[in-house]
Amino acid sequence: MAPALAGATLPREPHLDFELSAEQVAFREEVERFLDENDDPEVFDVTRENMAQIVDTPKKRAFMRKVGDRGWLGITWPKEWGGQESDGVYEYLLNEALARRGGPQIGKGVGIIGKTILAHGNDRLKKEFLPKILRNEVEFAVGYSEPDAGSDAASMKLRATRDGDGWRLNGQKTWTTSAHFAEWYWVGARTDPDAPKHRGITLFLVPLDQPGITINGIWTMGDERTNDVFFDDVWVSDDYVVGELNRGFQYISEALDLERFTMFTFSPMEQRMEVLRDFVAAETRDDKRLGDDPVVRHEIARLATDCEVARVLGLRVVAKSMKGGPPPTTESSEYKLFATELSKRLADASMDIGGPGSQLRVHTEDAPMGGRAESTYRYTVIDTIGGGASEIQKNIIARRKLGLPKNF
Amino acid sequence: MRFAFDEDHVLFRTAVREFLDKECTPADIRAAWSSHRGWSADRWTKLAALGVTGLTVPESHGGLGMDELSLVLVLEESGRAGLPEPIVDTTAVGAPLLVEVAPDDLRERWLRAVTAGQAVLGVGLAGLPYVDHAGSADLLLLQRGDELHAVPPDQVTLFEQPSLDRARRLASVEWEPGAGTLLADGGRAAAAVESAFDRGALATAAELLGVSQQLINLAVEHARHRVQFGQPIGAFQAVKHMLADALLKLELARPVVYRAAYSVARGMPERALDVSMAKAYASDAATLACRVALQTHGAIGYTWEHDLQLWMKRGWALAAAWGDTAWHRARVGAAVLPVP
Repeated sequence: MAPALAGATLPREPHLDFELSAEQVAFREEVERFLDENDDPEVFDVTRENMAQIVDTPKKRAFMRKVGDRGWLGITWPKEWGGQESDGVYEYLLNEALARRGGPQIGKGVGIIGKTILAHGNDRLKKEFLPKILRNEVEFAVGYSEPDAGSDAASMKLRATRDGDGWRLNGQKTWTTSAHFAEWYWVGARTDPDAPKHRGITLFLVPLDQPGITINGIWTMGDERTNDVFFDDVWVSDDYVVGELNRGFQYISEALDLERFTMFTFSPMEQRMEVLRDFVAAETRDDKRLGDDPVVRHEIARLATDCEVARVLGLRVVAKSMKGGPPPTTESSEYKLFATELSKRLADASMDIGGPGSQLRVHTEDAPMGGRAESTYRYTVIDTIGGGASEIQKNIIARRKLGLPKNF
Repeated sequence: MRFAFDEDHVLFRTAVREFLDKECTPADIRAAWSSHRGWSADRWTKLAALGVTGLTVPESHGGLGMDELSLVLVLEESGRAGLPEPIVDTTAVGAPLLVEVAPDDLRERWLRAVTAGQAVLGVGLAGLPYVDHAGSADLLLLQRGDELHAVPPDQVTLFEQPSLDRARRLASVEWEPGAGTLLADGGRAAAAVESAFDRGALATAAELLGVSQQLINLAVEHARHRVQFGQPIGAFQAVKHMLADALLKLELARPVVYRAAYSVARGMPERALDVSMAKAYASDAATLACRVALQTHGAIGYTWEHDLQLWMKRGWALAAAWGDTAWHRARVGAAVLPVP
């Protein structure tokens, strides 16, 4: 030991602590009891993988209202607006518990829309939407992407032109997953075509049954529906402009940090890892236990290690965004990048190890792992694209954390 | 040593490619997906006229009598085109299996029918529990323990096993072995099953090369035209490198598959090892090509309307068929480092 340090008074940093507190453990147990009491296969379905989180059926809505009744939708919100001003870790624990069972999750309403309105919205928006969100009486769809604005979201072209006390919206959005069942559209539109592309976008809230809106379904390889949304002279009052004019892209970026983290929960990965591990442990092939095969053991060990990495990366984001503060940008990007790429590797391994039955469709009786190899593969393949592609996450990390120059 | 194909091989491949470009478009594959049996009898007859269905059938039975080196080039093309017809089970595996073990009358009858495009064969081995297009096969070649049987479709009960690739109509087959269906037993059956499995794995590896090539072609085409941040996305190194990695993996797999084809054609002692290296490598190359192709396309590639899924689902399904990667890698391990 260096003698100079002996007895010196150093500033006391809190010890690194990987354990949950007694209160947090109690909360988690309370959530599990609640979920046991409300167990319903129509509300919880792990085979919908990452799409299980959307609240797209009456039963899921009814369930989320019960979550709201518990006060669990406003965990991190200010007391002034009906929240508990509690730590983000409780929201994290709740969401992970919901996700693990393939249930609907706290998503857009509480997170993206609620938190943006809290931070930037006018009083009218706060009074109209925040109580409804806390009671889960409203579903939102989010519209950023357009046919020519994917990774380059800031180049969105949907036009909003001044008309009386409001705006006329014309153009097209795409990949709006919830448009066919949601009531309100949280949509970015170009209000200043002459400003630099990041500074001419404004966020609006538009009822999806407003005349001039057309919603067309797009079906995906995941057997799920997303939508094109067309605007033909859709009128929106000034009251439904979110925050300041032309600041929309800044708000979108802040909310994306949150989306990156909450949309890609860890527990489904852990659950898929357990499915694969249990399969390997039980399966014999050519009269030998699959779990004795060194090739398989090596892969399982590597994946188990990476799952633990993903878990602690997630905890790091939670720890940095305590008290409902904004999630840290680069840490969120690192988590999203690693977790979604890991999801794909898990799916690859399930296919590689599952044997001939892994090409069988989910719910086929003979399929190993209940067909999860197949469904996981089909669903998770999109996770490295939605919520900001892996390449975009790497750009963010390179610029924000390494200080490298912008290259586009 | 000659590390190139003969002109005849190349000419035949070109003829098949030109045929498939016209007769097996994405619209044709979608038609097969929604058809009753998952493939087209009309296209099968035309393939027969071209010599494809009877490619491995000896000339004495009316076929072309070509070996696996010719076959893999054709199968690269069928993979590239996403051909729904049962060429692997019938031409690559079933016909050579009949040549190896079937009695003269059976052999003559079925090989003629295969060559004429009037029959397709289904194959069910121990490592292959789900028989592709079992419901439309005219004859099923099935293993039961140390016996190999040729079973007519009216003597089996099928249980559909929905595949993620809608052109692959898989089923488990229940049947009773009888003296009338026995083709071979004992060591002779075991040897035939082993070579049949290697032929199937090789053929699937060759198709996976074509599947990968097509996925990369589609992705490159998209990267050239899709503009984001003011330039084609193919100009970004992140996208370029991703595509280069996928192509590299494919180029590395290709000679390994050709080497395995050579081993199978010549009956080399290291046949099984070479085939396993080829299948594991080709499956990995296809898995990467699937991933990279979708990543390059972005969300549009994930839609039902986009044709990318026709090849992605084929790639995923074939990677799991005829021995998955872990199985083949374990076999390589056992060959390289035998357990005493």
